[in-house]
Formats: sequence, C-alpha cells, structure tokens
Amino acid sequence: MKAKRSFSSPSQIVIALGLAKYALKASFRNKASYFFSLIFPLIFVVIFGLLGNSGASIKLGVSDTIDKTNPIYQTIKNLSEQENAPIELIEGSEPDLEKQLSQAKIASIIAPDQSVRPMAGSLTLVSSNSNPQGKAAAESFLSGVISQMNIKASGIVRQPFAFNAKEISGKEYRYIDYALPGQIGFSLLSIATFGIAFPLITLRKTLVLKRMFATTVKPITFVVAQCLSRSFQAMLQAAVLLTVGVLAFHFTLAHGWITFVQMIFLSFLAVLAFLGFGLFIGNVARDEQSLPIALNLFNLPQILLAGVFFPIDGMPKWLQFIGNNLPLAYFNTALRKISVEGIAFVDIWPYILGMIVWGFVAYIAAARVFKTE
Amino acid sequence: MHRHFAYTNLSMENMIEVKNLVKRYGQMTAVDGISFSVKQGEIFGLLGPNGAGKTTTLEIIETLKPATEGSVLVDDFDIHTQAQEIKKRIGIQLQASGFYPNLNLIELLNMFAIMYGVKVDAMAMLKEFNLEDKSMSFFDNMSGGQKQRFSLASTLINTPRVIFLDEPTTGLDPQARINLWDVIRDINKKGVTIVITTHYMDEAEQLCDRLAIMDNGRIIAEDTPEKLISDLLARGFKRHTEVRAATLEDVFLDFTGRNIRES
Repeated sequence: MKAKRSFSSPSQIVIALGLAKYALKASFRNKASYFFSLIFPLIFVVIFGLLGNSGASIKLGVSDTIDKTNPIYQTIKNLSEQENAPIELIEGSEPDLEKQLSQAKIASIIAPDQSVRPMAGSLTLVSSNSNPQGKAAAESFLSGVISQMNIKASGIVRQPFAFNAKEISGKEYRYIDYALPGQIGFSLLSIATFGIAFPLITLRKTLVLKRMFATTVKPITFVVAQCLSRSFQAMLQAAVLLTVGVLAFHFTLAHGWITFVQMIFLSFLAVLAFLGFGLFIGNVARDEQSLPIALNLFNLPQILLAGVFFPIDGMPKWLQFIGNNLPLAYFNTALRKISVEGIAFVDIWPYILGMIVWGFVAYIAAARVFKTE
Repeated sequence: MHRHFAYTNLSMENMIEVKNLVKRYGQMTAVDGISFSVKQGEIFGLLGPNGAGKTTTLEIIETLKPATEGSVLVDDFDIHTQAQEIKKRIGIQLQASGFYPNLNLIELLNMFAIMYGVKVDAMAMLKEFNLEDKSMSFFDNMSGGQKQRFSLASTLINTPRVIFLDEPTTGLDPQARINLWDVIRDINKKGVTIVITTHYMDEAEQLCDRLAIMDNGRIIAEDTPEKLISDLLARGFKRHTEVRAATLEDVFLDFTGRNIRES
C-alpha cells in the first residue's frame, strides 16, 4: 500500500466567502463596471435633482409697448420682485415674444389693451394653444390679481365670499423623490445583469471557470460567491446614490436613517432576485456580441415600463398591468413606499413576495442552463 | 541531454490506470477504448495530431468530463465515484487557460489556496518560479514564458500527487521553452508525477520517461522514447537527409544565447 497523505476537505461556505472577497476586489478594479451601474444613475440623479430646484414660476412675457403706469402692470411687477415670486417677467418686443410663445417657452404675453375703446386700467393677455398649461396658469394668476384690485377699488372691507388658505405640515414633494428610487432600481438592475453576465462569459471563454471547477469548488459555491460579491457592491452603490440624493438634493427620508437602512436592505433583497436573471442571460447568450442584445431585451422594457423615469399610472390599463408586475416595478414601488410614504417595512410584503417569485423563477431557469465551458 | 535520472523516482506503483476508456459525443467517438497506465514519479507524454482525443482523455482523467465507458483510477480513486478525492490530489494546466481578471499574482495564488482549503506562502511560490518581481502584476500583462511559469506554479497549490500539463510550451520562444523544461524537471524531481501533451517531438524526447501516441481516439504506440525510436530503426527506417551535427535551433541559440528574455 502507498503511504497516503491526507488532503483537506474545505467547507464550501468558507470557499464561497473567500471567493466572494476576491470577486469583489476584482470587480472594484474593473472601471468599466461602474459605468452603467453607478455613473449613469448618478448623472440622472443630479439632473433630476437640479430640475426639481428650478421651481414652478409662471413665465410671463411683457411687451415693450406697454404703459409702465398701468396699475395692473405695476401690481404684477411688484409681485415678481418678491422672494420666491410666483411669476417671472420677460420683457421684449411683441414679435419676439410671440415667437417664444409659439414655442411654449413662455406662458402668455401681456400687451396694451387692443380693444376698440381701450381703458387705462386694462390690458390684453395674449396666449397660444401651443402651451395650454401656461395659458391656464397665466389666466388664473391674472384674474386673481385683478379680482383683488377690483375688491380694493370698490371699497369692500368685509368680503362676503372668501377662502382662507391653511397649510398642513409636510415636506415639499419633488421629482427627485420620485426619480431617486427609480435610479437606485436602474443601478441594481444594471449590476445584477451586466455586472454578472459579462464576467461569466469571459470566465467561461478564458477557461477560468473550467480551471476553478477542476478544484474542489462546486458550481453552486462559485455562483453563491459571485452573487454575494455583486449584492455587496450593489448595496454600496445604492448607498452612494442615496447619500448624494439626501445631501445634495434633500431627498425625502420619511423616518431618517431608519428609512436609509431599510432602503439599503430592500436593495439587497432586490439585487439577489435580479441576479438570477443575470445568471440566466449570461448562460444562454452565446458570446460577447449577442450578450448586450439579450441584456437590453430584458432591461429596457423594465427601465421604460417599471416606473424608473415615468409613473406607471400614466400608461394605458393593459400596459399598467404588465408594468406593475415586472420585477423592477415591485422594487421601485416598494422603495418609494418606504422612502417617501414612510410605510413600515412589514407592510410592503406583497412587493417582496413578488420579487421572491420572480427571483425563484430566474434561479431555476439559470440552474437549468448553467454551463461551465 | 537525455534524462535518465528520473527513473530513480519511479516505482512500480501506478499513479493512473486507464482501462477500456470510451468517450462518445452522439455518433462521434472521441476516445475509442484506450488502456494505459502512468507510473508514480514519471513524466508521461500523450502525443498525437489535433483531434486525436488527447485533451478529451485528459479531461476525463481530471474528472472534468464524464466517461461513456471504461474505468479510470487516479491514485487508487475512481473517477466515477470519488471525483472530489481526485480533484484534491491533482493539479491542472489547461491549454491556453486564463486567470480571474483584475487580480494580481499573489491574490490569484491565495484565491486558489482558498479553493483547495490550504494555506500557502504565495510569495515563496512566486520566488521558486522566478516571478517575485511580478507579484503585483496582472496575469494578462505578462510575457508568454512568465504566464506559463505562473500557470505551472498554480498547479502546485494543493501539493498534488500528479499534474496534467496540456501543451505547456506552445507559442514560447526557444529560450522560454528550454527554461520551462527545467522548471518541469524540477517539479518532477520533487516526486510529482507529470502527464504532458505536446506537439513538439523534441520536447517529448527531452522530457518524457514514457509516452503514448494517440490517433483517431486510439493509442497506437506506448513506450519509452528511446525504445520507440530504436523500434522504428529496426523496421528499416532511414531519414531522407543526412543528420547534421547541429540544428537550426542550435544556430539560433548560439546567436541569441540561452538566457530567458522577458520584457
């Protein structure tokens, strides 16, 4: 008999953790991997954050032929000079302003009264169908101003009909509050698909996978390690996006840092589910040429229909049904419920269940097509 | 130049025993009932033209592919039932294989150590293969010779009983090739059995204690290089041209020296 040396039988859990560490290290060094999953969403967050800050003042064109002593003009002028003015005046020649109006760049134009018998206390509001919202806003603003002036002029001290404006406390809801959760979803989806399918194909092509499975590593151990490293990276990226949103654009966190932690945890669950799809696509795609097509076939419909950029509610009913049931929609909706509405984590279980079902389907499909070379 | 010293390593024990091995892919028979054995401590060559079935045979022995029929024992373990035990005891260099991207050599060796559940002194291993200057380099940024040396180092992580080298010197310049032969001999001297495939007959003659020639999925000859050559001469073979006292490779090495070149 040969003298048999003993060879160690390592635990697959220890191997998975060790492999995950190196996979993460390698992934952090791969600059290209940040592009879709971090840089892109970050750019969108900044753009949407800046959009939200511009406020919604009415842009009103002022014809240079207008009589500067006109009392209505003077009232509007005074209003426009206040802080947080509801109105912004843009002076110019009438033809120039009309051109801007037809391009919907301004809401309406005020010009001298052009009726047959002009009065000192009146003027003309020029509007266009090119900007119906602007027209409505300008008309309502102007009629409000003129009503106030009429009441003052008629000397009524106690108005028989009036309303009191009362504000309940609440944070201003802005587009960034809608956009940021969508961008986190975009980031997670990218890292879970692009971030795992491309490396898989490369590792297979360069025989690295084959070499790894010539050791005592089991395929499931390798997959767990990859998923762990990607989900960790995804959580970090979600935290970066969220931090930028909170610090730079005052993104709404309903319950402060608790909401922050809940959002990151939900991101972890989501990326685990999405990774099933990345694994599946990475195994069915034949090479690096067909892979981006396959990935975009999966990702694009979700980015367009699952409430990343625009609300699902605005779509036709049948499309809403599809949109609402996409994996990314479950995540986006749940994330907004936590962040903006402040709903308790346990109450979003239907959405988590939806993600688990999708993830389950994806992992089963991935296991059926998994190949080592 | 011929190596006879390695025979001192040899015992009568078989490290690998292949019996009536068959591998079919549908209608195609890649390996057609071959039998051979590799003795403990020897360098065994598996030669043959492309498509002869060499790589398939190796991959079955390495437990990377299932056999259709036949039995294979590696260090007395059965490929059908004890694949994990075999994996622990062997080292593999795949033909033109890469390594995990974006990790340096030290990290790659440590990662392999994790996969085998062993602890290694990665720097000492690199030093042994003359790669200590490259410890922080990525595999893709190294020269062909360095890549193959690292590849060899990576087969030894688990201190295996036998290693399999699939065309280890393909694409190397003569200096790097000669250097790699020395490295392979050094590994063998430490008692590691080596199975090697190559398309270079001079390499097989230089390195192998015994070899098998495969064609169309069958083994058509198996013996020591010396015996195979003398058998051919005994059959009345004569070379068409007179053998000269030097070859073009001798000229090349005379001009460029034997020192290994690495950018």
